[in-house]
Amino acid sequence: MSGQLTTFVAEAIRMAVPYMACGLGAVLTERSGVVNIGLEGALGVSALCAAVGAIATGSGLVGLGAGVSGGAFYCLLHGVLVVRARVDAMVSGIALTMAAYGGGRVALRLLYGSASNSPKVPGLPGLESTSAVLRVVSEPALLVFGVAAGMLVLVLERTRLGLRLRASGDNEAAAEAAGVEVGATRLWASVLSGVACGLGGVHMVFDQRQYDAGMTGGRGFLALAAAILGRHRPGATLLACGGFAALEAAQIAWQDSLKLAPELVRLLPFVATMGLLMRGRSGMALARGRLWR
Amino acid sequence: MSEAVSRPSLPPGVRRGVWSVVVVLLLFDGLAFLAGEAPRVALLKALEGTWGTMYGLGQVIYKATPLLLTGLGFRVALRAGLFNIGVEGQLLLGSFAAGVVASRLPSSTPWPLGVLMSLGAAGVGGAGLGAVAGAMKVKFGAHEVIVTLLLNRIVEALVPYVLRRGVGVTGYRSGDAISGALLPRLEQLSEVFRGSAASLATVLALVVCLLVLRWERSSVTGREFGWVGLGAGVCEAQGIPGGRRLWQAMALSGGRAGLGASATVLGYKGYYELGLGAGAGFGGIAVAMLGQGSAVGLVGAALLLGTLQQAGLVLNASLPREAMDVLTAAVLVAASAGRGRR
Amino acid sequence: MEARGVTCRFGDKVAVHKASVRLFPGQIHALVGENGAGKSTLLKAMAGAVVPTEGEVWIRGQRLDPATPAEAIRRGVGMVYQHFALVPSFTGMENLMLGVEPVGLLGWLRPSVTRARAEEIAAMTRLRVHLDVPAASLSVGEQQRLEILRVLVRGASLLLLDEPTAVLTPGEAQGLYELLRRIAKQGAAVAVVTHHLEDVSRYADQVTVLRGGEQVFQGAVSEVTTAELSLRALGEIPAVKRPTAVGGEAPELLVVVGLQAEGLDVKELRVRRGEMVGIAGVDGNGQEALVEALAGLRPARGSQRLGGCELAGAPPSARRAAGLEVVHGDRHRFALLAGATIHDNLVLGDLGPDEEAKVVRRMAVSGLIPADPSLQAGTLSGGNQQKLVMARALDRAPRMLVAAYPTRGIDAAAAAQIQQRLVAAAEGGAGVLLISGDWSELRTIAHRLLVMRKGRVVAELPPDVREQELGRVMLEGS
Repeated sequence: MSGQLTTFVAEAIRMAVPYMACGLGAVLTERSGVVNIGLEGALGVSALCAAVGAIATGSGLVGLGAGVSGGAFYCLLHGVLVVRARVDAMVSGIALTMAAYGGGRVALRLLYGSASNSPKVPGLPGLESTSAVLRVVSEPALLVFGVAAGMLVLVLERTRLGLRLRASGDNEAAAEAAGVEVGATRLWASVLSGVACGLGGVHMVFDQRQYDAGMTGGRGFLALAAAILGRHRPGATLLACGGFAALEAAQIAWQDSLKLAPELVRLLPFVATMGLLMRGRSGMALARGRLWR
Repeated sequence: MSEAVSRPSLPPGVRRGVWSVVVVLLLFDGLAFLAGEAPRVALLKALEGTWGTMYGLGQVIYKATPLLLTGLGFRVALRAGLFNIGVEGQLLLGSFAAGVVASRLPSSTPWPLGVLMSLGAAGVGGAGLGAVAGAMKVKFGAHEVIVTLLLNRIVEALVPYVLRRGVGVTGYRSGDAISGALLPRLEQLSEVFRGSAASLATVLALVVCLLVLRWERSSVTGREFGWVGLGAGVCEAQGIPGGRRLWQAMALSGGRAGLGASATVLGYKGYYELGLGAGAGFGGIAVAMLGQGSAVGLVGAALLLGTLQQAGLVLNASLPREAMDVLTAAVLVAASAGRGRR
Repeated sequence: MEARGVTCRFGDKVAVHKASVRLFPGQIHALVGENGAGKSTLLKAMAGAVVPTEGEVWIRGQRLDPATPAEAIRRGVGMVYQHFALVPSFTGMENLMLGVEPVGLLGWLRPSVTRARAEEIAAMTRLRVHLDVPAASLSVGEQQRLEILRVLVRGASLLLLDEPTAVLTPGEAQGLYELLRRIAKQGAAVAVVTHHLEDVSRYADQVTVLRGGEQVFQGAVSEVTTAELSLRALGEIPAVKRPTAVGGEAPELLVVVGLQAEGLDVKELRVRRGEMVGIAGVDGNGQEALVEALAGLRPARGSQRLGGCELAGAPPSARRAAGLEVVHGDRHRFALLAGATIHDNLVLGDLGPDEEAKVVRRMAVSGLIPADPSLQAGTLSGGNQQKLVMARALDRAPRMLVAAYPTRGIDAAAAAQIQQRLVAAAEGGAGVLLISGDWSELRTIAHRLLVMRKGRVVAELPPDVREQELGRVMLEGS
């Protein structure tokens, strides 16, 4: 493989994790009827928790646990606000994103005395290899995410919780009439979605061996768009996430040979999504569930 | 709401305001404690730096002005049933446009004309961006939330690029505005505001606020906006152009948010620089949710959030000012509890 | 099963007052009454879906406590709702499992368990449903059978059905009652809410008549005639007469030719001045598409001329200007803003300088009680909402009125008033196109009936056609 192509493949796989994590998180929460536009914040919070946990104990495993818990807690908080406190899902999503961003900066200042990034984070050991692709693929956080993603999809499609989750989002009244506790189901869905996003945050931190305040870079928002483009089906959504990752990777691999300014290249996924949204009424998929018509 | 009926002591709007202030105070104490400050000391310091001096008060008013305008902007879309998260990007584009126009006008442009042209640019910039989102919604059925989130990111990346490519004097700011495009500071009118950043923009914002609320209640189009929010399909079937009202609401929303530039670019800095007014868009969402439909409520909410921002600056040495973002988020949630759509 | 002295209040409105019903295994018990008489509420109270203000529900000698749907289901009560409680995107199997999922380790679903049970029941009752396609793709009758299969799979021995025949043709209704009879023979008790009084005499064993929430009759079906039931259930209703007949020389007003849209393909449709044309058909056979196309809300090809003025492609406001007024069947989607005031709703779409005068006039015409235009429209009953919509439409003095299901879901007195308005409009020279699911309404006031099936007009029948014949044409086409 040529150098650029290797870089492209390695980067695409690496970049895909946060996208896919949030995409899967979006599918899980929205299929249950709770729209969460704050997944960007979930990514950031779990990254911060992973960094803090790993730095404080020196253990990557603790970091992993802390990151996943942080993401799950964040999404559960959103679920509680929306389901129990009847806060508009959009309001809660945007407020929690703001709080996550501000909270991240505050934590960096108070804990590490830095305005923008954490000290080096001890991650989990991967394979030492000369092949960039192999190094990326053997990153333990990526492997954990891969296994968890598979399990979450199975939960959604093959278990009681998944069945009830889908029923709650698709026809709340029917689910209630069938004896499903819709509120509780939605809270569980929020937790699952937080776990998915959490693994994305953990991967970003372990992969870069540090946390910085702006590291999520809008990927959580794009993942929402990916879920819409994938019509909230896990397979199609993950594919769309892969597409975003490939765009981002291509920009890194071929940035020297491109004539475009890097800012403009970075816009590509956003502009491409706008174009795709023009295709049809797919945007309305975000409207599923009674919480957001 | 049923509680409000059985206990007629306080109208719901007032209760919501009181509740929000309580949440702010509690969270503030918690954050101050985490930062190693005695909560009481921090609170006193924050109060002194905001409402304790005329200078501080001026700062609060300065911070509140764009919040009031973005809040009005968010509100018009919300009335029409749209959730315009794009106010942040619309304010940014409006500010940028105002900065560029104000600096590129011939320096002989007389005073009110320069201001009006710059403000017009700000309004058109914001409105254009809003209209794009509205058109995407009406024409393609793309959800306005996702579209405005994307547009925010696009504008945030494009503006620095355009500045760097020669539109600005440096990579991060526009040229200085000509004197005919500046809004006079309040300190020029009265000695008591010496040194503060508050300007005539505040008066402008108040006038806009009153006019807008009046227009919403009494004009045909203004009332139709509200009806479209209650049921676009019903309106369409009854002969009201629902689709057109939807994108008009988004454009108006963006236009009002863009006017927020009046306080920052034209009233204070005299140029646009990256990051100027950032956060006022999201803050505007909180202002709209907290202030509801009354002028008093909107102004009060804007002042509350303006106070928070200024307090963040005052305390920045010990408590990072981003902590105020957390407080703003808490206000937003507290103001909206129990009002989710069903 | 027994309901003892059940009273249900919503706010200060009494829906059911001191009703007592006993259901026995092997019997079909009919609950009859007009709309709003409280029969659905009583049924829901028995299913635990509504908590009675007073009174109790007993099942097999034990009080239903707590009074929740979950507890009622546990005790063997199975309710089939008027609006089916199926998840549309789920397959039949998934719908059967939901809420009572057979699971293995870690919540893993085991559909085979449910399938075996479903097949066993299907064999006993000859109840056949396709279980492997999404519920949304099933016909209405099939969806209903799926619902019944579902409550049986859950082990229900007390079967409660709310207006099960409202969506069925006479033939399908007969099949349903035969199925219910077989289920009852297996030892189940069945209660059916209906307003088809003929069905009661034909298929039920016991009958309870409710009127305005009061229980006015109870006893064996063999003790009463259909006419007696009708008098007890409905009382005397003013008869509405057909508008005077129009001759062939009356000018044609609405001429629709080759109208094609999604779900619609109408070759020709003509309405004369002063003529009342009825559209009959099983729900979902293109009536909605026809109304939306005529209203300018659904893109359509073909010509739609109103008094010589081509309306194809015109938006709703232009159609109104040409004299066309549409009263939509789905009020909340197309006609009424529940969140706005009555005042605003009365001038919705023609807000102008004479706003106050319009509100006063339309308020008076509508006969709304209470007559307070500052109330929210959503607080009105369905009948009053319909009166509001009707008053607004007629005050605009249309030349041509399209009314879709104008009396659906409202009480008999209000329905009669609205039918009277339609007749008056036709006698005043307007053309009226009446789309309705109520056959007796169509047969009473329309001059001629057009039958729609699969988006086409398949037959034209005189209003005195036999009911069985009308049902057959609706199902089979011609």
